[in-house]
Order: sequence, then C-alpha cells, then structure tokens
Amino acid sequence: SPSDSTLQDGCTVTDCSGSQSATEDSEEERNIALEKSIYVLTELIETERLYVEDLGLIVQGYMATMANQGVPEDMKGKDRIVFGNIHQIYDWHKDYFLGELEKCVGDPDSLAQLFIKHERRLHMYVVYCQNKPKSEHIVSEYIETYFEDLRQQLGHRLQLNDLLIKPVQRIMKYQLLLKDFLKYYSKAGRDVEELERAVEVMCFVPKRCNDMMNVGRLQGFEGKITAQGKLLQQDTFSVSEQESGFLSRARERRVFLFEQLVIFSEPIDKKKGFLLPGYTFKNSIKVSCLGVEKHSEEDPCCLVLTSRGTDGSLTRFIMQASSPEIQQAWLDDVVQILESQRNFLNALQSPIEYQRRENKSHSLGRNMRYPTVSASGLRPHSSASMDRRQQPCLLSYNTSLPSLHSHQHSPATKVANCNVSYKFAYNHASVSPNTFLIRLFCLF
Amino acid sequence: MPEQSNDYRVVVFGAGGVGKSSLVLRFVKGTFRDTYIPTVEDTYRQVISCDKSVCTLQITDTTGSHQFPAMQRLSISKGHAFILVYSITSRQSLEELKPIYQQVLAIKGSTESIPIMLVGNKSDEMAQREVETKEGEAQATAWKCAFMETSAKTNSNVKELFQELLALEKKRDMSLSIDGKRSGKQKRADKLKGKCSVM
Repeated sequence: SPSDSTLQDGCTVTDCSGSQSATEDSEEERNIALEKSIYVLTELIETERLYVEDLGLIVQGYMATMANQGVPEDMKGKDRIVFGNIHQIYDWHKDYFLGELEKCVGDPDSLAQLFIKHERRLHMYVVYCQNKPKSEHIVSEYIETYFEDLRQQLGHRLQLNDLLIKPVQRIMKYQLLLKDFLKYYSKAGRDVEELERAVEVMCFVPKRCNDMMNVGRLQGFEGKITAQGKLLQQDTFSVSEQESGFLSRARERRVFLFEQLVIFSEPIDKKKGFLLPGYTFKNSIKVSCLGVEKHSEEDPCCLVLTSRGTDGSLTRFIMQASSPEIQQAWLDDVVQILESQRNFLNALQSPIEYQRRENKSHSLGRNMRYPTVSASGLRPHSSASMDRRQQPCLLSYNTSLPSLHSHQHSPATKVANCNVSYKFAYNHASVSPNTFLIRLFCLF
Repeated sequence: MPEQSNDYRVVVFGAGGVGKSSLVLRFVKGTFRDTYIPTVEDTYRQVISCDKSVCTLQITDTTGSHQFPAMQRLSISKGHAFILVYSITSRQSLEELKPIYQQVLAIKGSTESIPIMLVGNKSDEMAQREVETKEGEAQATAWKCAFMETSAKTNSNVKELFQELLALEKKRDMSLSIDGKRSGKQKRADKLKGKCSVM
C-alpha cells in the first residue's frame, strides 16, 4: 500500500542520514505531498464523473431523442456530422475509463500505465476534433431553432454547443492533472518514471487534436486527408510560384506538411463573416515529386520547395516564413522525409542488397528488435516521441492511429508490438500491396 | 423570434500560477484554499440577473489550453467577455497575456464592444511586487480595456471584478444576483433548473 512504502522510504533515509529530526521533517513533508497527490487523483476522478454525465446529456439526451422522434427533413444526414464519434467516446469513458480511474485510488502507482496503455484508444479525440469544425458549422445553423426546442424539451441548462465542446476541453486537461500529480508524487519520494511518460503521451494527444482541427477546416481537398501520413508541420507563409520562368506574386498560404503530401491552401477571408478560420485547397505536392533547394544564407526565412511534373517540368514554391526558426523546422522535416523516401526507394529497387547492408550495420540482436534501426527513418517509434522532434516515421502509414511502439518496453514486447502494428497497417486502406511486402521485408 | 442565449460566457485567461482558479473559486464558492487548489473545472456556473430575468454566468477557466491554439480558439469564439489575469509578482505573466489579447482581437475582429478586464492578481503580496499598478493601467489603456488589481486570498476586489465586467456589457443589462451566500453548488443547480423550467 502507498503508506507502507512511504514508511519504507522514510526508513531508508534514517539509515543514511542518521539524523532523527531531519527524517521526521522530510517524512512529514512526504506525507503531505502524498496527501496532495491524492487530492489531485480525487479531482481527476470527480471531474471524470462530471464529464461522463455531460456526455450522457448528448448521447442519452439529444441523440436518443433525435433517434426516437426523427429529425427535420433538411437535417437528415447532417446529424451524423453534428455528433461525430462522441458516442464512442462516451461509451469508453462510461464503461471503462472512469472505473479504471476509480481503481487507482487504491493503487495510485497504476495511474500512469492507464494513460500510456490507452494512447492508441485516445486517438478517438483526434477524430473528434477533426470533425469539430464541420459539426460547429451545422450546429450554428440550428442552435436557436431546432436544438433550442430540444434543449427545452430535455430540460437542459446548457446548450448543445456547450456540451459538444466538452471532449475538446477534457482532452487538454489530463496533462495538467497528471503534471500536478507527478509533482506531488515525486515530492512524496515515489517513482515517477512512468508518470513522466504518461504526461508526454497526454501532451502529445491534444497536440495532434489541435493540429487536426486546423486540417478539419481545410475545404476542397479531393483526396483522403487521413491517408497522407502524420501532420508534421503547419504554418502560414507568403508563397510565390515559379513555373518555366514565370513568377507569380506572393500570396498568403496556410501550408500543411504531411508525411506524404504538402498542401497549400488559401485562408478564407475573415471579413466575409466567418467567425473561425477556414482554408481553401489550392495546390499540393506529393512526396514522390517533392524536392527542396539548398538553404540560402542571405535569406534565413526563405524555403524553396520544388515539384517535378510527370513531363519533367519543375515548379518552384518560394516560401517566406515568419521566422528563421520556422524555416529551419520545416527544412529539417522536409530533408528527413526526402531521406526516408530515398531509403524506401533503395529498399524497393534492390531489396537483398539493402537488407545485407542493414544487417552488416547492426548486431542480430538489435535487428530482432528494431529491424531497420539507423538514420534510415524507417524505424518504428512511439508517436509521443514525435513531439521531441525525432524523425518522421514513414513506416507508420497507419496514420489514423498513433503507433503502438514503445521504447521502454522489454525486447519481447517490442517484437510483439511490431506484429500488432503490422497487421494493423495492412488493414489500412492507404497501404498498397507493394509497400506492404517491402515493409514486411524491412521488419523481419 | 429565437430568444437570446440564456448563457453569458466569461473566459478567463492567464499564465500558470497567477491565480485564475483561485479567483474564480473565490467568486463562485466564496472560499480560498491554501492547501489544494483544484487545477481544472472547465465551467463554473453562477446565476445572475440579465435584462430583469435570470441567466447563467458561465465562467470558463482556460488553464492549460494555451499550448493548443486551434482548440483555444473555440473557447474564444464562444466567449462574450474576457478576463485576462496576471500576477503582480511576475512581469513575465503580464507579457504572456499579450499574444492572448492579440488572439482575442483576431478572432473577435474588434474588441470595442466586448467587455475585457485586465486583472493584476495577488495584490496582497506587496513585498514581491514586480508590476506597478500604473504599468497595469498603462497596458489596459493601450488595449482599451478595463483594469483592476485583486487578491483572491484576501477577497479584495473579487466580486467587484465580476460586477464591473458585467457593467461593461452594453448589449444586455447584466448584474450579479444579490441573494447572499449560497450553501452549495448542487443546491444552486437545482434552484436554477427550477427557474429554467418556469421560463
């Protein structure tokens, strides 16, 4: 039990220091810190309970009523977009997560694992946030009419949009609570290594939500956005295009850098009465056609991307960033993507040679765990580590879910994880049979 | 025909540790806790009077959302009034409000008709003061918003802060309902439900 181990910790200090009063002080401090950590845990559980109640107002209130009574003719088909995957979120928190959190009262050490274990599941929030801008648009049309009637009928205090924002707010709060818990737990002299990782995971999930929310505001893109790999960067640039000598004037563009695609879009004018920003798709570069020009020393904010056409023509995109740091971050990621792409091509063109080279450079044991470790960028890694600006991971084409891999697992777990992620990637629509074979080969 | 939203949403911004949650808790629950201040409670609710009827004052504490601007934008776009809190013991905390003010401005288009209050909290900690009162006033003038120094700990200017903020709202006639101390959140909630169903 927690108090037992605190006592033990206290004893250890006594043995080392031999000073009775100092021990009592520090033991008291530890006890206070432990008590505070329990306050945080209690808050986490209490707010989780309220959260589940709020989601219930949507699922058992609005959604159930609409299913029973039917929806107005002009709303048919739109109701699915209004609610997105909130039913899934509600069920998981109600039937599973809340109960697991409650169990942590008796065993606070298990709190960190609870979050780490479910990183992949929490991806449902990324899906929710991506849909949120579309949902809002529809809700705003009906909020004073149809949804207001429903609100009164249900006897709710809050309006539907106050409830629909709850998941967005909640997913940002876990990291705060975990950080507080970690602070006190550490002061209490407890092991916090796993908690640090849990904080990392719970910072990463809302960051992806945030990024995908912007992507959700992109209009006019015909392809499947979830099949373009992870979103690595997004920022506003001043972009001019140059094609066979003709240079267009510079325009403001929101640019999204995915693992497999660069998208240029035009911000929708705020003055036209749009409350929230939106982006209209303008242009894109597939990674297979992408190039980058050498960075100019004179203009540290300038990034030049190129796109090779099938006819051999070259279009230059001259991009002015708002700071040298942004330019550098983009350049680093683009270079990384291109390098990974080259490695892929090498592996594709002469797989046996590639494998031989890879084998030479690593011991068999390491290859077992990370079959393609090296600077190749093919190495699977935890999605949380993306946040620490590691290489983009082209192996995880399974973009709609963060990878399962964890650096901190035992070697045996790693192999198992590879398998899981593997099957998963194959199921994913974006993977062609060819890439699948190559990937199989890379892994084993 | 569609009646005006029954809620009045106040969004509270500020860096970590400036006392946002303490201010809100002091106002809503009338308490100040030294031992443990809850990190989060998304929405605090309070019954107030609005155009001679009852409406809900919703106070959204944005703690932790600044790292996620696209998500924070949602809170801003839903807000009717804004409280920007810094601590008088930290110049940095005032600096950190600047991008937030800019974001409010960008999303709302103009801040002219929107009640905004700049708040220097922890006015009881005079010995640690880093930001002079007149500096706060100067910033408020530059932003064309109101200004106040408060202490959640000593309960100085807390109720006044919310009163002034509501008085800045020109589109509706708002004021805090004056029905003394309340004994608990649940009781208030029940009372509110009752009133809602009458309406």
